[in-house]
Amino acid sequence: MFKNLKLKTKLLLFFPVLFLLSFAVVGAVAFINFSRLSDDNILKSDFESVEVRRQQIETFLTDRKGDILLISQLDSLQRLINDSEEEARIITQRSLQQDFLALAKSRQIYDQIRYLDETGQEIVRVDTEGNNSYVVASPQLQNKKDRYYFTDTIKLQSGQLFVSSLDLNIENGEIEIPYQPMLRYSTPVFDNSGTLRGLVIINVQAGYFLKKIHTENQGSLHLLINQDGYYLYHPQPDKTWGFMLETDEGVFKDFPHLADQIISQGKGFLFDEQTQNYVSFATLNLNNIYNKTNILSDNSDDYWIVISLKSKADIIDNYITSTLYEFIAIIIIVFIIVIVIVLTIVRSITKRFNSLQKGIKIIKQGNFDYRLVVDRHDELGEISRDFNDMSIAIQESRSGIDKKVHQQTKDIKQKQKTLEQQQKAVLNVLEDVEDERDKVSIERDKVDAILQSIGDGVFVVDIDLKIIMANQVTADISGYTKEELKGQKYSKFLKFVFEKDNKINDKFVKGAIATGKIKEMANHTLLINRDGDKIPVADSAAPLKDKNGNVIGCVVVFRDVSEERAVDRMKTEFVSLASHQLRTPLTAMRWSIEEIVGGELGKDDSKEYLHDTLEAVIRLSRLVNSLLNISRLETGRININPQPTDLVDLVGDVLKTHAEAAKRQGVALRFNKPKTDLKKIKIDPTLVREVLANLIDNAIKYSRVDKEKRIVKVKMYREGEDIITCVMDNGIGIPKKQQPRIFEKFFRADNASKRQAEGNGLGLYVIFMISKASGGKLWFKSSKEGTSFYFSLPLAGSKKFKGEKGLAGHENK
Amino acid sequence: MAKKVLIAEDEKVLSKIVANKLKRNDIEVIQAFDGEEAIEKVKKEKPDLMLLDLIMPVKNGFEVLKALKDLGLTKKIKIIVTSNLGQQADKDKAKKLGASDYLIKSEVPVDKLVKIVLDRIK
Repeated sequence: MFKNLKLKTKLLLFFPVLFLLSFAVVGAVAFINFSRLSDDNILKSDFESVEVRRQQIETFLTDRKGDILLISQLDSLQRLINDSEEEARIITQRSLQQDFLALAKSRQIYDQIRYLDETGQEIVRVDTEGNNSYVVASPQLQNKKDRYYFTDTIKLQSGQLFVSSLDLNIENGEIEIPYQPMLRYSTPVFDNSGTLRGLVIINVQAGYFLKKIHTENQGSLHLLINQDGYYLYHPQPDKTWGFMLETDEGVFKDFPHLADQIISQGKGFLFDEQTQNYVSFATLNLNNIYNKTNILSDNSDDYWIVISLKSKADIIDNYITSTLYEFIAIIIIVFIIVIVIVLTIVRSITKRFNSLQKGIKIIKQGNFDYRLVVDRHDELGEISRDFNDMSIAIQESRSGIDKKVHQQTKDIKQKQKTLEQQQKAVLNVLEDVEDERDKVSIERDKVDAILQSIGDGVFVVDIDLKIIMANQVTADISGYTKEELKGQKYSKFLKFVFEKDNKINDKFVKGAIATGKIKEMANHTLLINRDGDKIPVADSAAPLKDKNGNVIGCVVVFRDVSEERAVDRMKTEFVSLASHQLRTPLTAMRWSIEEIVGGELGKDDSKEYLHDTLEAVIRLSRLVNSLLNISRLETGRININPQPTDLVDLVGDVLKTHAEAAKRQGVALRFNKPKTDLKKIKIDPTLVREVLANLIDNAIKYSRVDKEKRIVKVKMYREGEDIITCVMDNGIGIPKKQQPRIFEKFFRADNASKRQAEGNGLGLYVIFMISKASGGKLWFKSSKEGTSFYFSLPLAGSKKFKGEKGLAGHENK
Repeated sequence: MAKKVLIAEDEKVLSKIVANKLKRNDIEVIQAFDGEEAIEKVKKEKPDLMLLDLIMPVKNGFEVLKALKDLGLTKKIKIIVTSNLGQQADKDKAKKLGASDYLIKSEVPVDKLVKIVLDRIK
């Protein structure tokens, strides 16, 4: 039922209950303590402590009595007393000593244990100082016959006790310091015959029991007084032993009004109004204790009284203090209890909150089947219940939603299927389109590839003359990129102009589009490229037609004809030069014969003119041969017939042939043959001879006219894998600027200027070609001192070649 | 006074034939065998007429014409250009440079050539 209370009720209950309990406990404690305060109780407890002490002391004293009587009965003592022989006495004396020593050690409270003989002489004495008990040696034994205890004791009967009063020990007439409270027990000893033989005496250290009187109790004062009222024990030591120290301290001084009452009453308790003290007391009747029947002696105490004094004020203080302590203790305990209880409650609540939280988390995560534990009907319990209800509600709504969702999902799936089917259909169509596009793309790529691979420029314009597409060659020639050209009106970047007036030539494009027919680009059309260079171009424009034959654009094809033109030009030049060269001897022939025929000439002149004619004819035929050879060499139709030939012989032969001409011109011919014998090499002798003849001929012609010595030197030597023939003249040399053109057709350098009529300017070109065909090389070095031509032939020889013809002019050889 | 004709022609045979014929016609003949020689001899001899071959070493016919034109000598001299080339462009060029005639040697009989010379020189 407690569990089902609401939390707030619990809380509300808790604290008041707690406080009430605390107060109750505190109250109880206070009450208990207070009740202890009643006079009777205090007094009673006090008296009890007094009584206890009294009892203790009585026991102690009784024990001492026992001891002294024991000693008097000692066997060793008896023997000592009864033996009269000296020697035996010594032994028994020693025995007695040992007994005394044993007792001293055992009890540890006897300052002295002695046997005095009847004369008062100490016979056996054992002293104890601190923990040390020892037999006192004979020389130190004293005679005590005058001491009171001796005189008093020897008066006694056997078994009777003398107990001294409790006082301070006197040593050598002075009070021993530090104070030694002493109590003496003695009893007379008799021998077998009943003669008094002395006494035995023990000195008891009374401090031993005196200290037991003390109480630690703060509020109390414990005292021991003798029958005269002097303090035998007092917390303040200077109040003690008044009778010995001759002070006036005593109970009669401190509590004069009480003294009589205490003494007369013997034991009991009372409250002293005057000093506000609680007084308890108990008397030790010594005579009774010792069983004395003898006279009251001055040297003995009759009684002692144990007194306890408690001041009321102290008691109250005590009470308050102890209550306070107890109070604090209770508070602490209560505090601890409260904490424990609170922690327990908190923990329990926290636990429940945690489990609630866990449960809610589980539900939050979507587990609506989970039910929270409802174990109590307090607020937490209600929350749990509410949560569970909520879960149920959510579950129900969810299942409703689930059903809806399920249904809708079905619908969607159905729709999805439909869509998928449609999608498939569309994809099929797309695939077909893709295929077609790919085909088109492939075709286009083919076209592109073809266009790119065409060496000519190709570009296509639409009907608005905008470039649809241009190939790389177009881009290269025009200097613009394909991207720049695309989409632009073609005439923006591709400027076709007429050569003669630089006017725009768009006739061919426009014409093709307009007429639907192919139009050639006019001759001498130029294309002005990006850098402004004029490039001669040629070709045509063709119309592009659609399916129906409508012109939709135009394809222009063009090429850079600069080279073609150059080649044409060269051909034209060559033909010009050649025909000029041909015409010159023809003119000479014609005019000579005309003059001869004209009849104006004399016989000698006629003959001269006939000579001229003959020379012209020869010159003409030479020229024709050269031209033929050039043609044959250039088209690779020359026969090459390598035969093992002795080059040295060949050179010698050629020189011989030219010997007469050289002599005529005053030129000396020298031949430096090779140092070592050269084997025959496989070369075509006809071809090689032509080269050699030409070189030697030139050398002779161009050796210095003005010099005295006109020399033509021929050297032959081996260099590496070649044989080199060198023909040197000492002419004026070939001007440096013209040296590169020496091997050109019809080229005449200035040093040859005067010799126009001889030679035709083709010789070097022909032999250059022959050298190449023979597998050799032809080059020269020229300076103002002369020119040297080098003709190398490989030792391996020339390759045989079956052409169509041999060299022209050598057919009959 | 006898007329002077300068024959600028590098072909010796041709130059000889024409020179002989002209001499037989009482014309003083000076011969030059290259373009430079031609210019020198024009300056020196101051002929009345020059037969100028186009293809000559050192300086060709056109160069000679230009040089003479620059020297202002073309006005006083009649120049007949002879050549074995027949390009219209050359003909026009020669005419522009001051030649009075342009003859193609291989097409013209020597008689006719001399006749033209004699004609021009009057």
